[in-house]
Amino acid sequence: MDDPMKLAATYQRFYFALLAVLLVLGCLAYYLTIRYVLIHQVDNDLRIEQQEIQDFVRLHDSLPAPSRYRDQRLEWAPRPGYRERRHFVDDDDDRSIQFSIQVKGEDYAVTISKSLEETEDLLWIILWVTAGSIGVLLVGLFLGNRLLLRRIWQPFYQTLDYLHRFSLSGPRNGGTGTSNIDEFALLGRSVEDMTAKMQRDYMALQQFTDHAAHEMQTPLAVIKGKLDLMMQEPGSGPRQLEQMQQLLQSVNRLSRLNQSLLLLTRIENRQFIEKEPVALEPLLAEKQDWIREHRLEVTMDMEPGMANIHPFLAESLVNNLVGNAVRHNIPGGKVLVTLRPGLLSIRNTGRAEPLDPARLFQRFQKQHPSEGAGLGLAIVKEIADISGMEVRYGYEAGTHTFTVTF
Amino acid sequence: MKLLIVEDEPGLLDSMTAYLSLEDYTCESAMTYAEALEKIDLYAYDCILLDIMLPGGDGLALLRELKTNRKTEGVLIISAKNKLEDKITGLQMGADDYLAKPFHLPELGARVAAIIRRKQFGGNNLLEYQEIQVDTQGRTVKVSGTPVTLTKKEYALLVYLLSNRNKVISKSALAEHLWGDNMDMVDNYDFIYTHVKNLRKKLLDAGAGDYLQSVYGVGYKWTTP
Repeated sequence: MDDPMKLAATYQRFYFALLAVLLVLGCLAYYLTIRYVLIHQVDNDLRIEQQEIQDFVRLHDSLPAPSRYRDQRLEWAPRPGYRERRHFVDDDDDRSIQFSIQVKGEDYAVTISKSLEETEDLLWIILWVTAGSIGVLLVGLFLGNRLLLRRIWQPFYQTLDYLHRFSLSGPRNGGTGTSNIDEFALLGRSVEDMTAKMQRDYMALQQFTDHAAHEMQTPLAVIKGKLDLMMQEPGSGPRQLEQMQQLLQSVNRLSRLNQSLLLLTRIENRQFIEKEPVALEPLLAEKQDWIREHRLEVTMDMEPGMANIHPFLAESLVNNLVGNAVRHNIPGGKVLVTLRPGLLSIRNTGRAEPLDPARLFQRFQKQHPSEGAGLGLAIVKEIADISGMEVRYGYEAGTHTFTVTF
Repeated sequence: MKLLIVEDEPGLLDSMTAYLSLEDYTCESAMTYAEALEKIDLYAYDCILLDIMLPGGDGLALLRELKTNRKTEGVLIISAKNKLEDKITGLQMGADDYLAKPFHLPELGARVAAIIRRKQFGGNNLLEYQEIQVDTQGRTVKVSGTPVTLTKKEYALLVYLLSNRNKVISKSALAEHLWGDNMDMVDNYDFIYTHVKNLRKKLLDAGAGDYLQSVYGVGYKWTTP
């Protein structure tokens, strides 16, 4: 687990972005509402003031002297023909009410102003307190969520970790997370059931492979033995003997095919993953005579080189590559083996056309009729893959080259 | 010479018994773990041929039984191919040799002969045919007392043929013996002919009789004409 909060972080990011947008919008609406309510309050006060002025004029038939008291200001001026029942004016910091009044038959314009400074102050205090509370709420939510998510998702990550370490052939170590959350508990149980079933199936498959091989080898052994025995019968004529030999060849071919398939299955089942340094030089050197016996010219240019590979696979790799170079050769042809540290190349004369590299390493892909089953190069590829090697094919003027780098 | 063949497949048991009886071996057989155990307890054998995949018990358990009772029989383990573990375990437990199925009967004959030679003559043994004398310990060949120099393959061929005298040996069996079945992938047996030709020439030149006969279309036979 390099980053245990990935999923939670994604969730948190979205959740808190949404929350922030909503809270900003909410704050704005809150601000406007409070402001509206407060202004309305001021307007009410101003209306009461207007009432008082009108009462004063009715009683004394004169206007009170212009005054400035605390945050409130009264001003008036004669303005003939001015008629206004009530009119609110919004200045920078003030809220004013303007109205007309008749004193001794003359028209006056009266303005009562109230400073909004105090209201604004109040508004800001309310806003700051609110914003502060929201901030605290957000941080609290964030931390709480984080803690909760981590705790809730713990079994999930444990299950992930279990799956990550799971190997078909290896032992099952650790367990999935136990949880009192239904979904996670179910996930954990399902994963455990599934992996157990996979291992059971895998074991069954391996047993099947083993049994299939054994069952196939026994009849092959019987046929082979009977043919060897039949050859000893005194009455057999040359024709029968020749046919027995041909039968033997076919049985051997079938038996080799069986072994190749088995080997492929076992490589795939990772039965040869233990690697050790193997000297390829002697393995190759002992093939020299065999190549010469097939009337081919062989040159081996070798520097001692070790490859990190299962010893059995090393042998199989060399056998298949050398066998391939001999089988697909031309009469009187050549085989050139080059071994360098980290590189093995086997070059052989052959048909004057390159092979299709896309099909080369596939099973049962015989591009030209030959005695093989078409599994040799598939085995070479599997061995290279499982041993961390790379195998390449090249063609140049009637010479086919297979290069293995390790 | 008395052999016990422990093999559960009747067809194979039959062939093995028939082939080995052509040599002067007395062959007894057992098809189950219990039967084999009983025979091993009651009788003494020169060599036991043991298939380690047996019904009713592991062949390796039988081998353990033999070794703990300090029996001196030679043991040839037979098992399915590609069972590298069986081979290693078997040899570690004291078996003398290992043969993978499916095998050629002449190969079986040669292996049994080699085990018996080693057991009987205390490791210093001679394989003789008329005037030909092979010291399998020192890997030397003499014809009427005169040493003959053979290549590794010629020597292997000679020992193989001498262990399977009067038998028709197929080219397939010879190829498998000389190169192992891994390399028997090219069905071209010309190379056997070369080795046979050279061996015969060397023996004839040293004054031996012409015992190596070719059997048309099949292979070769070592016999007195």
